[in-house]
Amino acid sequence: MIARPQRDGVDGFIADLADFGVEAVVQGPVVHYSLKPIEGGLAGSLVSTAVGVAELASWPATAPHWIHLPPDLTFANTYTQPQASLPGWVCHSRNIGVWDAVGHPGQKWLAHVRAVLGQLSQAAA
Amino acid sequence: MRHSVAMSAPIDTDLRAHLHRPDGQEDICLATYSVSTGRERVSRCLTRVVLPGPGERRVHGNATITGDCVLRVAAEAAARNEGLALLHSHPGGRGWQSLSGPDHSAESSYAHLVERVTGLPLVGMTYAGQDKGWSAREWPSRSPMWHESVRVTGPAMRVTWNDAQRLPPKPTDEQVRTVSAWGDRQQRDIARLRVLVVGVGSVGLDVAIRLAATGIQHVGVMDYDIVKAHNRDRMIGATRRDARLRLPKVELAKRLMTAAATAARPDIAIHDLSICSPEGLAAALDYDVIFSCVDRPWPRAVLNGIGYSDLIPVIDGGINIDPLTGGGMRGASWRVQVATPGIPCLACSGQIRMPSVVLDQQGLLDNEEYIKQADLQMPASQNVALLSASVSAGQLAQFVSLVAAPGGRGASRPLRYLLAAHHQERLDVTSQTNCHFERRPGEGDCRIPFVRDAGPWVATSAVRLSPRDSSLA
Repeated sequence: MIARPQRDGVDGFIADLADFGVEAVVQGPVVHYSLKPIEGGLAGSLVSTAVGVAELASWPATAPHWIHLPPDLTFANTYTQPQASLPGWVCHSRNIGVWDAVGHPGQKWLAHVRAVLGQLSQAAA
Repeated sequence: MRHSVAMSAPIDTDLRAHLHRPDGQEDICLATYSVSTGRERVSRCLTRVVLPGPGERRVHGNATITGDCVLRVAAEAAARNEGLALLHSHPGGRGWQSLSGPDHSAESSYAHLVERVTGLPLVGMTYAGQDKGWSAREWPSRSPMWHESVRVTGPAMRVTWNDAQRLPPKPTDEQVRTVSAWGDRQQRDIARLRVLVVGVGSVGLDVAIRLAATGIQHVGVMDYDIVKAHNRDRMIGATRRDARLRLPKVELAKRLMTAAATAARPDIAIHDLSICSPEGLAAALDYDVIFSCVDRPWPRAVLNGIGYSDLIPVIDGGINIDPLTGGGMRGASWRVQVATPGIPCLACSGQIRMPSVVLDQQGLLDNEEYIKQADLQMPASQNVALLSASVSAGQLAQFVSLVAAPGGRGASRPLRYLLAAHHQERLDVTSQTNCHFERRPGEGDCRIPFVRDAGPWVATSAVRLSPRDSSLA
């Protein structure tokens, strides 16, 4: 049976981000989108990031754990694991403290990722 | 394959408000349903009541509905990937109703049309006005296929049984004291419920044995783990030999339940599976009530979902023991809660943290390197047989409230007991505004997809299949 028309899963995630003007697209094993951090070393610049399609199966009941980033972007402290991603990209473990059913899931997700991206640093070339 | 209909208490209330007429005449209406597919049972879960509009029905002692109305609602149901149920009332009826000639004719005349529009069989239902009973059948062909039961789920659960499909078990001499607590009829109905216990550790094993002793005919146990030496201080009845032989916990449970059973023909099913696997989920969907005796967030999330999406009440229990670093106890608390429409879900009550579900699914809660980096605590493992009995007692009391509704009241909101303060409290939690579990009761197979093909049960199965150390046997 096909799911009832609801904003769930990958399609729901993309629609929820679109509600806040963020265009997300499926690229192979990930959903890719770009955001501008509002603080940190990359504040104001557009940063490419992604989440695994597999992690969106239960969206919006659950939120993804891994933040996918290009190899030149990293955190001072991070735990990484190899996962299906874009070529060369790295998956960083980032806990989301609270994920409840209050408020818009797209807004909450973007707030989380913006906060995470604010901790980024550019790796030396 | 067995068939049944399930509906939430609010749907039941809406239907009765329309079908139970003060003038004593029959009435008719429609409802849409989703499908919940178990291994041996398919449940048709009612999702929406659709009352006929002006001119779409005639009440004349009996009641009839227009073909245009049936077609319109069937098209609406099809757009939602749902099926259609046609319901009418027998104001003077009591219990499971048979089908009169005119009713047979009306339902069979719409059956083909409805199936052609929705792709699902028409479900026919009758409401018996004298005892609020329901009966159901579906029309895969020109003849009706009768369902086994209709369950109404909420804080107080009501099941109407089709005696022809599930015989009421006769109480035995060994059940005299039990029957005296709630009477012969209630015993027959409770004993017919299929009850599953997921997780047969310290709490679940105790629950399963007591269900068997109460005379419930069909009790299932689900666990993929094996008995180990360190389980013996809580799994009452497990022997050293069981641990040496790496006996599956479900086999131990079956042995102890068989010894305790008082039903004339007990039917104890073992499921050496994880509830987080597709096979485990399918097995669970065959049951009427489920006990959640698991201690991890992932299986708890699966079970919490079933309570609402598949309209199978889930009775959850959990314990938290807080030891002092240098020895001694700071305290302990345990809580019990039923996940069913009308009671806030386990996520809304804080019993499940959804980010932990994701970590558990990915094996990160057992990954020491990750736990250290994330500055988290390994999952708590403290437990004491002296206290786990309080959790099983709390869950069993909720079961009695759910199925016997003492004083007309059903299961309560979440209960928590604080050991140090000797204080039991009812948690006045409310449902979150967009609760993902509660917003679509009865969605059946469209449930939130928490199950996965692989998980920790795969590694445990591999250990079990490895050659046993003959020196230990």
